[in-house]
Amino acid sequence: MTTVTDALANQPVVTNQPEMATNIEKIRELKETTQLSWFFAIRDIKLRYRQTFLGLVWAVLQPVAQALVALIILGRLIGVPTDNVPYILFAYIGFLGWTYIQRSFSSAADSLVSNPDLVSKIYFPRLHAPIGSMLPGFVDLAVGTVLLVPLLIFYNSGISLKILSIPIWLILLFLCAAVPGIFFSAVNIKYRDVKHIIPFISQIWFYLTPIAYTSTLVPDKYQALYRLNPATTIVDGIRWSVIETPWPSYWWVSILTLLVTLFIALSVFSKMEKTFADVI
Amino acid sequence: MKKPAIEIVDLSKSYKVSGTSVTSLGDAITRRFRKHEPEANTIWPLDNINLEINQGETIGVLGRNGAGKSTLLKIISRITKPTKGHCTTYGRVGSLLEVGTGFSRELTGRENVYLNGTILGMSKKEISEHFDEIVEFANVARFIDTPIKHYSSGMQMRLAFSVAAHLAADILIVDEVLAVGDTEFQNRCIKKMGEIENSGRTIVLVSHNMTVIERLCSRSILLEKGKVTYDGRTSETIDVYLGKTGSSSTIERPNDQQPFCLSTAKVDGINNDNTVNAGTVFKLTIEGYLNKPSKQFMLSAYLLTDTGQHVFDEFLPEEQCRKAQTSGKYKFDFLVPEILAPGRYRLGYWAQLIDQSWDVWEDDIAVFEVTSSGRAADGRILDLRPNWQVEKIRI
Repeated sequence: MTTVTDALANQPVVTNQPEMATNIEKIRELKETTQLSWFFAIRDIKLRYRQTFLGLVWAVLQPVAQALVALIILGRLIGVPTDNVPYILFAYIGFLGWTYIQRSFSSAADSLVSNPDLVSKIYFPRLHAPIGSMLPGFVDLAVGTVLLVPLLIFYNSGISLKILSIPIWLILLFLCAAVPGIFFSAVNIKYRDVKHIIPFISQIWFYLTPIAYTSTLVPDKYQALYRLNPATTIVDGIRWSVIETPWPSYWWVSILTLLVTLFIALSVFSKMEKTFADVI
Repeated sequence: MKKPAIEIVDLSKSYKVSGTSVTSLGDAITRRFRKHEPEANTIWPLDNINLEINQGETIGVLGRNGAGKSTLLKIISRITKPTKGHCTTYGRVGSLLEVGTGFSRELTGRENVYLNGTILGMSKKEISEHFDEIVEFANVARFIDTPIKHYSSGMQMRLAFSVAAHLAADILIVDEVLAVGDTEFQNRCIKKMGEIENSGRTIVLVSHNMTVIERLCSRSILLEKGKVTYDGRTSETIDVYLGKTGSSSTIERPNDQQPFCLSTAKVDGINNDNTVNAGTVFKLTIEGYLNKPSKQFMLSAYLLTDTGQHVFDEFLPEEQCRKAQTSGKYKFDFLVPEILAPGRYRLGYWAQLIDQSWDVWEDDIAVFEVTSSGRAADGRILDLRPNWQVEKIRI
């Protein structure tokens, strides 16, 4: 039984008390258990594709279908201007980003209530559940990007060094979905009507984000206000790096909002976390 | 010198219980404007607990339902936070609370083993090292790549126990898991827990099986209404527990205004020393207040052996249930035939107001012993006293 003596040598000492752990302790604990987020993510990916016949096809079907519908209605019938970029290319990139945000934030919001056994019977740093549930969206995003390549070639759209900024946009995309995702995952445990609110919020959010239209359509005097929605800058930024649409104005408003709301979401989560197991 | 594994200091936990629970945003908002809302009651499942458990100790926790056992285990395993005081654990804590602990129904057995290991803070490599042992012990090799939802509850429990026992937790919390599963597996579990104890790890065990507690734990505590009322050698603690719960095999209680409240439980035709002679018919009586009229009142009485095995679980027949619909005090009784083998038996009841989705159950409302001057108990439950006949049918 050598493993036991080894384990006893560096055993963690933990005190369970009413006071909340400090943020530093929490971050350290999260870091030590990062593999848990990956595990939740891998589990979700496996589950999502295990019982579906078409598997990965579902991942791209949604943005493709939405982009096509938008092409017909907005691009052809109404004729929305798109900063001199082919409409389908413009809309497809938008829908790729949007699909990530929308799917990830709603699965994060569900991540704790859909695992009552885990929450009420095992301890783990709870934040891993919403974080882990937002990672599989990147698989969908990657598959969707594969489809983007022929579009780029077909429309003869060159690629510049701006493409190197993509990792930054992806991190921001993740954080943007994480804000409502983390917030609602906690609130959902106490108030189950959150599940009715989520489709409603995501619909409004969709219209407030330049997915099927360009943000330049918004009058200049409202631009700063418009950028309070961080998704606007992120979607514009992704397009900027891939198809050279204009750089988003007032981008810093979005970044600031993102950081402030992220802080609020994390505080709410850590405050409500204490009673998860009692309430769920 | 002994090192502590778990230190519990002035630990209390409270819950707010209101007439109706707030589960929607609408409730939360309208509640603020309602004036005559019944005030939320605070209940204290744990009330100022102090306890020190040393490394390498196996400790049993005894107590009735609602005494705070589960809450205590949840705080030790950090699933929930205490309201006051603190609990410090030295080492990795693995918990096994009820069947199927932390299993994800859609995942296969293999994936769940890795999930539980990851949650315990183990690396993939460490888990892989123990994987074969785990599967072999649980005896689920054939189903290891089948989703857990297709497992029987016995299989789930076997796997859950095996994971918790083999993954290197320094402190193992086990809540009533031995209630399911066959005797052969139970014996292996008990043996395994003995090995864990010998290897210097700590076990906290809750079980209704007194024999198991007695076999594994040298020390036990008794929890009553959230307080530790006895802490000592297991045999003493069991005597205090069963003595208290079954004092002269009768229990008398005031009406607490719950929808149904037990007032008396007794065994009629019992000797002064709390025993029943084997081979006699005796009567079990339960009296209680029905404080709320109910169209679908239901009551059952069950008998457990010392080891927590069900002897019977008898529901009140429907036409009798109909006699208990209006509020008032009722008496329920029936005769137990003369078939119980010698041994200690514990009576429990389960009352339900089905139309109001309310129920209450309690073990050990009366404890008595069936004694015989003849054969010893040796683990059997029934003495059928059959009418054996011998006939010679061939020369």
